[in-house]
Amino acid sequence: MQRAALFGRSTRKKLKAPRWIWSSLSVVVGFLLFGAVWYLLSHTVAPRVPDPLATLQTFLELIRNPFYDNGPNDKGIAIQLGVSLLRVFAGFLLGVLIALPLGVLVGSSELLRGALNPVIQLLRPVSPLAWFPVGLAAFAASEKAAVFVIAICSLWPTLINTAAGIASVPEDYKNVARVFRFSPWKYLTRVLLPYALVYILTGFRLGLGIAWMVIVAAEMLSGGTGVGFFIWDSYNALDLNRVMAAILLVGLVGWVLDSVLGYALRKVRV
Amino acid sequence: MGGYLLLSEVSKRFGSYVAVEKFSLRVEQGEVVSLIGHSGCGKSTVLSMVAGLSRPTSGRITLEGRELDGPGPDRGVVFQNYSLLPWLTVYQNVYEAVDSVHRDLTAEDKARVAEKFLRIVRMWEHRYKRPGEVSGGMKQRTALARALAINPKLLLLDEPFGALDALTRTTLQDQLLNIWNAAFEDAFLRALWGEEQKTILLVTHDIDEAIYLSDRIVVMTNGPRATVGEVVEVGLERPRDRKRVLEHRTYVELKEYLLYLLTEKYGRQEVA
Repeated sequence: MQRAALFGRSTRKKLKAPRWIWSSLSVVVGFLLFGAVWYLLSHTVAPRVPDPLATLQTFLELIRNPFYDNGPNDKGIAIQLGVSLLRVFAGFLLGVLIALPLGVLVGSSELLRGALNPVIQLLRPVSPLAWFPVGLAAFAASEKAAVFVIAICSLWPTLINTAAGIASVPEDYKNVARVFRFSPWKYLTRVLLPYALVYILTGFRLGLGIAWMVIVAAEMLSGGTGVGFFIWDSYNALDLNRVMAAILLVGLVGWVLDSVLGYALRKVRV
Repeated sequence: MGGYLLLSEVSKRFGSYVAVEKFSLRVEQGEVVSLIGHSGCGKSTVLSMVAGLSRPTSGRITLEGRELDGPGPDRGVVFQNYSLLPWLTVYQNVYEAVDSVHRDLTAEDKARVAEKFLRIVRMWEHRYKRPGEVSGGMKQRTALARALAINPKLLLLDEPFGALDALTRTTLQDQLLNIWNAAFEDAFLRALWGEEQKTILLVTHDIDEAIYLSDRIVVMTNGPRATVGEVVEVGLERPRDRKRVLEHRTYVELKEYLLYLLTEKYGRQEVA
């Protein structure tokens, strides 16, 4: 009897305040507040900027028919996003291919760290817009230049974090590798990389965030396709509703990308 | 000459700090020798030099007449804090060591060696767990299996049971010697490695542990400039039974003598 009573009470307590209701409620409240501020601003100081309602309407129109293709200057938003994502992944992957091995090297050698750190600090803050002409000059193609810009802007967090992770491998683990005669390959794959994984994934997460941020700028310059082009093209057509809707979409996709890596990171940490 | 493991006038200096000075010790094959002393007296420094993890500033360490040059598979180390790789399972921790050291064995034999030792330390049923998922005693047993599975001539234990509760500690001490014997009663392992006698060098600050496990106890003087203070023979016959040992007159006398050495003769001096 007592058990039943206890059970009944605990379920009632649970029904009273499930956590997900509270958390989703706070999300809704957050968006409502944001929308209210936006609405106010767009009706006072920035009357040419569409308000949230108009933006949302355009947003829904955009995603209602996302895959249409009416020639080179008129494609559905999903196609534009897809093209941008492909570029981002290509550039990001290229960056990783450079940054990961380099990070391991820089992390394992104090000498190399001393030599490369100034170079890294020098190149890291350079704007993607500044890299674009360099890419154009080097590859003579705007498509390749865009991928290059993404790679060179997004590789720094991976490089720096990998190096930091490798450099902080505890002496104990190094001693294990020495005492048990691990081969360099085993040392890399069983000690260095597993230890640095959290650092590396954090680098990926930051790098991918940068890559996604850079893509819009890169595509505004490279033109042709992608969300960056879409935004610039819409602006030139004086369709600011589409600009705002595309910004929403860019934000959403970036959020998803970040969540995926955030999830991976939590999995690894456990 | 003689001497299986020989440390002659070994010194270790860290910058201007002299941790160990002119430490000389001869260990015969098959002996169990403990280094005992106050914490920070440099006993772990001596052990890590024997392990090859750090180089003596001066002096020589030879094993079977050959001067040591870095760590080697002839010396198995059980680290103070276990040092298992937390991202590998219990099994992988042992297997990777076997795989690295016994390069001449087939994959099948390596797996068998890993299995044998995990069974001997009774960790086989926990083989898929990660170190973070097992108790301190289990971690220690895994570390022991890893050190033994590389078939070292010399087993080096750095305060192996220090971090464990008293009950687990005594059980593991009992097991250590049994495990050692069991490993070399196994037909497969004997066929693989023969019956060479094993030697153990153990660092501890636990007097009971030192007496119970060792043939000889090296009491170290306090650092800096730590060195061999006194070497005490443990005249208790083997195999030792914990209960009988505890009641033995030799044990009581030894313990008193060691206590005297550690608290009075080599007691902590206040540094001015």
